[in-house]
Amino acid sequence: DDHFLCILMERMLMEMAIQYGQQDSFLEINCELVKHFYKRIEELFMNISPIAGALLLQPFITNHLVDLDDQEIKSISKRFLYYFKLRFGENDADVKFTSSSDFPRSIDGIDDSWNLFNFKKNLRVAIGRLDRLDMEFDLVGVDAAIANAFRRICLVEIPTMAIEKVWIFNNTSVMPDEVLCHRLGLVPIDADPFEFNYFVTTKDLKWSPAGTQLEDLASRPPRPLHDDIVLLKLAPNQEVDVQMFCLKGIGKTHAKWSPVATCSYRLLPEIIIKEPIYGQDAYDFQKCFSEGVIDVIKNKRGIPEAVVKNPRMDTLSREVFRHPKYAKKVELSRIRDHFIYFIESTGALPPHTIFSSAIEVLSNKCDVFLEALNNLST
Amino acid sequence: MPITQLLGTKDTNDSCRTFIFQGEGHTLGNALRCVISGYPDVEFCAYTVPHPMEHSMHFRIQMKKGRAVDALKRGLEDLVAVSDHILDEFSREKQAFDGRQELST
Repeated sequence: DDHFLCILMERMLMEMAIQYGQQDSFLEINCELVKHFYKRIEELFMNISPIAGALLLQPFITNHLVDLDDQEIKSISKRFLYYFKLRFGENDADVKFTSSSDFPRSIDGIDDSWNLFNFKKNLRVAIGRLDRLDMEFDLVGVDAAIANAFRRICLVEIPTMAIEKVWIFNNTSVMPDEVLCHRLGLVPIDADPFEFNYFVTTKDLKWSPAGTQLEDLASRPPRPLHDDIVLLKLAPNQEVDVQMFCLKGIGKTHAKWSPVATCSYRLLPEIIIKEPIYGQDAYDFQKCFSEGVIDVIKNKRGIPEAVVKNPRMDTLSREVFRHPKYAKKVELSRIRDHFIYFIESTGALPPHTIFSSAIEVLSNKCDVFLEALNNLST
Repeated sequence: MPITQLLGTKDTNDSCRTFIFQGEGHTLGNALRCVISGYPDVEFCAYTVPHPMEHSMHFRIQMKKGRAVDALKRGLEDLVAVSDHILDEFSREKQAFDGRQELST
């Protein structure tokens, strides 16, 4: 028991030190101090950093959990196991904990059935980059099903304007009509889709043919977003004379109506250095990862040591597992509920509007079915 | 009808039902399944898209106690609450981000 607690305390302080910026690796621990602290591990880690707690107990969970006598440590460990299960393990060839743990009673002693209050407490949004076309932001604390629902909606269910009907008066070029029309349809149009609503309200009583529409939309007249897209090439004496109509639609019908160039997400990587790596090894280790992920700094004893600086930038290429001297010292995983979204708009709608609309679309879908259910007699 | 139910199977009663959603697919199906699976009374909850050319989604709920329809209603309402909360958080973060942009320029 004493031995276990010593190791526990050492790792705990090591993690806290690394987290809070001091780069010490080894600290002298007093056994009495450890005994005093272990009863308050839950307070320290559940509220401040469950990640550190889970990391601490990780080797003990897999190896020693069955040997523990103390009931209190066992119950605390089980709570950390819950947070630990939020990570995927990638060690050499095996990927652990891949099955969804989103059903209740998957872990003894913890009630993780659906709880709106807990969900609201754990949700976090952080925008990293937002300009006219691109946006990168983090969504933490949702299940993959919901994150994926938003991604799918951003791609195919947000309406935009695109060329749909084309009247061709003359086309003597080498390009067939349908090919030309297909290309015209794919041209991104700079028009605010919210100005073109499906329903006519009293506000639209002065709605009339296209002529007056140009005045209403004078602040942002519909036009192609880019002036320099080559549609086709003509030879002498060839002619193209077309009239086009832009209609509002969604990506589900045809991809030309998708508001995004693409919308994707990835999970936040996590790199855990289980045993310290020193000296030249540390520099070689740094080269196994993308630039900026691993930092080599001089620790308290003046020896260069590898620490994880910014796991977010890593691509998890698993290059490190090709070198046997590091393979056992590091663990790669991903944090299951931290999604780094990347939304690239085509330009008609700003990216944050696309995501906000996606959330509203999901909400409206549910409302439609709720109303249908309420109307059913059963 | 946006939502109907699968008739005629002997496994259908108040607590076990398969609902057919017209015009929906994995987008709503997986999200709804994720929410309803978290309810303690639900014995079984799953969805399937029978054929990609048909735009429908079959959603089955089996309850230990209580009606399947009530679980479905609760799931839809919870999903609305989830969406609203994420929208609030996102809007708030966007405003904070704009504020930070103004300060730095």
